[in-house]
Amino acid sequence: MITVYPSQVYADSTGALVVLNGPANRAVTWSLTGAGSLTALSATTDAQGRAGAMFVPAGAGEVTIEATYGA
Amino acid sequence: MALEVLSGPSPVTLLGSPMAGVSGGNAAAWIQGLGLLASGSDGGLGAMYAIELDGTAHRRSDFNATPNLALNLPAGYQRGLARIGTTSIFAFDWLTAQQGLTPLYSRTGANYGQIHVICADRFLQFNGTTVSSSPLTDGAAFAPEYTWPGSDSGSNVSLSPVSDRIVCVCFGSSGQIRFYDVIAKAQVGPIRYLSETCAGAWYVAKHGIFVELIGLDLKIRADATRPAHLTNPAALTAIAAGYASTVEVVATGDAGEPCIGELINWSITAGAGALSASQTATDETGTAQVEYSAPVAATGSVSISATLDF
Repeated sequence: MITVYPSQVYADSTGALVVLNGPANRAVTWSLTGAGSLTALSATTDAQGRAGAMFVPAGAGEVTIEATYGA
Repeated sequence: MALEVLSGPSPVTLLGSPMAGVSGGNAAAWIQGLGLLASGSDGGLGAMYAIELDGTAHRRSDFNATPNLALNLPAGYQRGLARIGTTSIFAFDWLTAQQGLTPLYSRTGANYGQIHVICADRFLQFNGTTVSSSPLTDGAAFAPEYTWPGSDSGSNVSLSPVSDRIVCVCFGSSGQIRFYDVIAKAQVGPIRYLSETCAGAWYVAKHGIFVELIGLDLKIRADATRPAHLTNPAALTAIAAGYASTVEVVATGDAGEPCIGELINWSITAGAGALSASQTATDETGTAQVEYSAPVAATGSVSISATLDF
């Protein structure tokens, strides 16, 4: 499950935290479809199954953030 | 050698010429600010000498009886010394390298046993298997108060103070060094190894080094184990596509003791994936770890290399 903080991201936002909750100790690959940038904060999920990324929007519009991780 | 050699062996010299004899064991003591105060000979009568870290000796006094020195902690742990006689114990002045005039302790009947440390409440005697104590009113009959862990450390004991409660004990017959807490009555920290027999070794608390007398030479040793072995990288959890796995190596000295604080360089020599760091340090067990993450779509195998940055 992916959660974004804050839940509503404005077009001029300086950044939003994207958190993946999944299985522990898995390699994570992030991808972004849409305007903006996505920077991985961690390449693997931790012992609690969490991994993070920072999304910075580039204007208004819809974006899709996906995280692929080991089964 | 197990503890890294910083310098030496350097011959102990007097006025530029090698000395004829230098005694270790409890015939010598490290005195901060002076050097190794030791009984020695220039070919003539014995005397007391102060030996600098580079082996240069300076005559301090003509005291030529067997020193049989003990650490006298109540007199100040850094420089408190006593000389153990048969039925009297005298203060030994480190500055003049002479025995005091009036006894600190004396007894009748049986002679004093081997005394290595004078504490505030008892005498201590060290051998390769136990630490024994005797009341200050006795000093002849000793009873074990602690048993060293591990195997017999041997004999030919040399002592040096670390603090007001911890002493460093070197067993010259085995080259083992142990630290002992006289208040807790227990060994402190791991065994250090010289990996050679010696006449004695003394800890220099101010600089965290050891001064070793081997034959008529001095060696200066670091309080750090020279790495001798590094295990192959081993994954603690199975490496699989999409998984993060911890990989570790263990660095040890030639006596199997852990090498602490050594830098390990990590790299992937074949296959895909990423490491969490290119360099990590070994911990108190000699273990260094890194995290390897395999891509979700990874196939085949991966080779991870670990080398000592030494």
